Amino acid sequence: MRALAPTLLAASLGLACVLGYRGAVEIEAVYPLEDVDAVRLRLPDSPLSVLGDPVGEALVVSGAWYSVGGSQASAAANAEAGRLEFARDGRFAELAVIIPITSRDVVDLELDEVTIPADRDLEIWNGVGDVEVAQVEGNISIDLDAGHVSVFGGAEGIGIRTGAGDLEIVTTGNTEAHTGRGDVELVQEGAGGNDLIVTTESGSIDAVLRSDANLDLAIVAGGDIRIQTRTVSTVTSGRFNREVGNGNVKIWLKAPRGNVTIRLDESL
Amino acid sequence: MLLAGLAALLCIAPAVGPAGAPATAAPTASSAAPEAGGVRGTLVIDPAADGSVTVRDSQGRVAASLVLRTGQRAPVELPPGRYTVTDDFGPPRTIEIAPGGTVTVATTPPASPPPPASPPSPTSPPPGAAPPPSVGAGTLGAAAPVEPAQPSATRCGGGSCRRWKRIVAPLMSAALPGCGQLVNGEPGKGLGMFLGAASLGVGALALKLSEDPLASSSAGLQSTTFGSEVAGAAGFGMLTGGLAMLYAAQIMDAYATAAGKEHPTPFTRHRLSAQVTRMATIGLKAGDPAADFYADWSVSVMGQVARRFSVGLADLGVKYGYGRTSIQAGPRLHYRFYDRGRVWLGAGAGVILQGTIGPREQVLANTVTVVSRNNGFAAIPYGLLDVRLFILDRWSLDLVPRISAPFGTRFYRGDGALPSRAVTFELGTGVGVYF
Repeated sequence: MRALAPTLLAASLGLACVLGYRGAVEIEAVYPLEDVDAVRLRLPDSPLSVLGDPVGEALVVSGAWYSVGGSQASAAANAEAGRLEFARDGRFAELAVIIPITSRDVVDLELDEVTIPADRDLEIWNGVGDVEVAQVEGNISIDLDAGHVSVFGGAEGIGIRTGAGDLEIVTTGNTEAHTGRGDVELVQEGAGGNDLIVTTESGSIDAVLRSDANLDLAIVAGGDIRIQTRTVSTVTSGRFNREVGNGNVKIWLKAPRGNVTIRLDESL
Repeated sequence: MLLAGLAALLCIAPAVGPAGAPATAAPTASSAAPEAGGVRGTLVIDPAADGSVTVRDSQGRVAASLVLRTGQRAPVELPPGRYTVTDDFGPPRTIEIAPGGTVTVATTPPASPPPPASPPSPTSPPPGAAPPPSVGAGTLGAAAPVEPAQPSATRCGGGSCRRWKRIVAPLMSAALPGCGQLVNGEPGKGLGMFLGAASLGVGALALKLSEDPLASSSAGLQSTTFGSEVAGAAGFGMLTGGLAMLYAAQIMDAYATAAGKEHPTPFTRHRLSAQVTRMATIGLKAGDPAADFYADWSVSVMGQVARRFSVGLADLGVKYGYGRTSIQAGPRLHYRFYDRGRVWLGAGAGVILQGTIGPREQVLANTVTVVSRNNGFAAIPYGLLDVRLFILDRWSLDLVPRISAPFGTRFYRGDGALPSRAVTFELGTGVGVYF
């Protein structure tokens, strides 16, 4: 009997597991966007790639529902439990995921690609997942719990918040972005002159400007601050504030635990 | 928090053994010290079973309190007079100590049927030996051969027995693992407890901090990270489970040592018991991560309705998830098939009934209301084994392997859920208390 308890213990240590199956159902859906100016995507944890279509007039979604189940049949049933719901209110539309509570957390949506007309405003509410937006020239707003964000476009302005993740932004629009943990790469396009207001709680910021005229520089960095433009050149640390010209282009960069580097586009 | 409460409970619980005997194993200093000018008598305790014995004088004051094992006879010198002897299994009995005389008292054996005949052991009386004298009669004046009393009768750990240590030692252990053992004069044990708890805690913390919050954010990782996620979850589960058990054990040990309870006598005749248990398993998930650690903290309250057989309400708990709340409880039957010494083994069966509710409506595009089903119900039948290790008479550390299969989605805290009909093997760790 002395050996029974250790034997039970040893046996039970190897027995903490769940037996189950996985299921998947592919989806593809098209939602017309005539007379719609702005689209919101409200999705569960899912990586997302959104591409602007210069000639398109619809929201096109493709991906798959993934699920788990105690049997193959129940896994398949769970994969079909969730649905995409599209709703419009005037010139605003929203695509959201509806999952009945009995299938909550046993089914997951992963979208491969989303296409929208390039001139529409785009708003993304997501949990955890990398987001990449390209060729969308309307206003772009992205709010994530965590995930890397890449935006190429957003001429009418960009707003980004992610709990953790790197940011890569190439834009002609005014940009306001925040990441809890990650590096930031900013590139002004076009003629420059757009505001860049960026904070990373833990990481560095690297900004490339198209123009160094009329800058309002307000830089905070835990590490080095390096600025190399025709009008401002400095190597310092901590804080740096400088106005150039009438100072109406805000370059407010904050990296309390990293470095900040600002340079002029070398192709100019 | 929970286990700090355990420490507080230990401190406020009356220091009594199964039959109400004080848990201290030391004769009181006043009675043990020889009285100047007086001729003392000797009371020899001949224990018929493991347990505690309390001797009170005619005023009701505790003259001696001992914890003894079967066959280990213990002499106690006492001033002449009338005394009441109480053990774990029999009624109080009165004896008379004469000056210079010796009274031998055999304690009452347990009421359970005697085990099958076995060869004589070194601790059991030889066959054919004279039956132990009845307690009331005693053997006045007969100088029976005696063995020295256990060290626990005079020492509590590495120091002397002090009542304040029963409060301070477990509280110190609750505040910082191993500290209570230092109070009890056991620095080596205290250091070991501290290093063990620190290692487990740092390991679990390191494992948690090493998780990349972005690990599951990338596309195309579906199920490919299953192996590493299982390994990480299993490691975290074992480290935290071990830490909780060690933390509870060292608090109990601090109290047991301070009270001189080196050999607990589990309270088999309890009427009510309560367990706090964490049932844990590693399960698959839809999406990324592909596997996760599922932990279900719950409380069970069981009543012992017949000898070794308990029924009660088990698995009481509330699980808060993202956009949902689950409440669960269910009946359980339990039978204890082994309870020798400080280890109990048992088996049980029951069903967890879990109801879940979430928001019924979701507003899209700021104006359009979408209605979906907002409640769910799951029944989760299970069978379990349990191993209970007693460090105190009324407190146990529990290890509970369990098998179950939910009918309906079973929800856990956060975003954890196990699908219907998924056979689940869990390992529970917890603490039990017996009233």
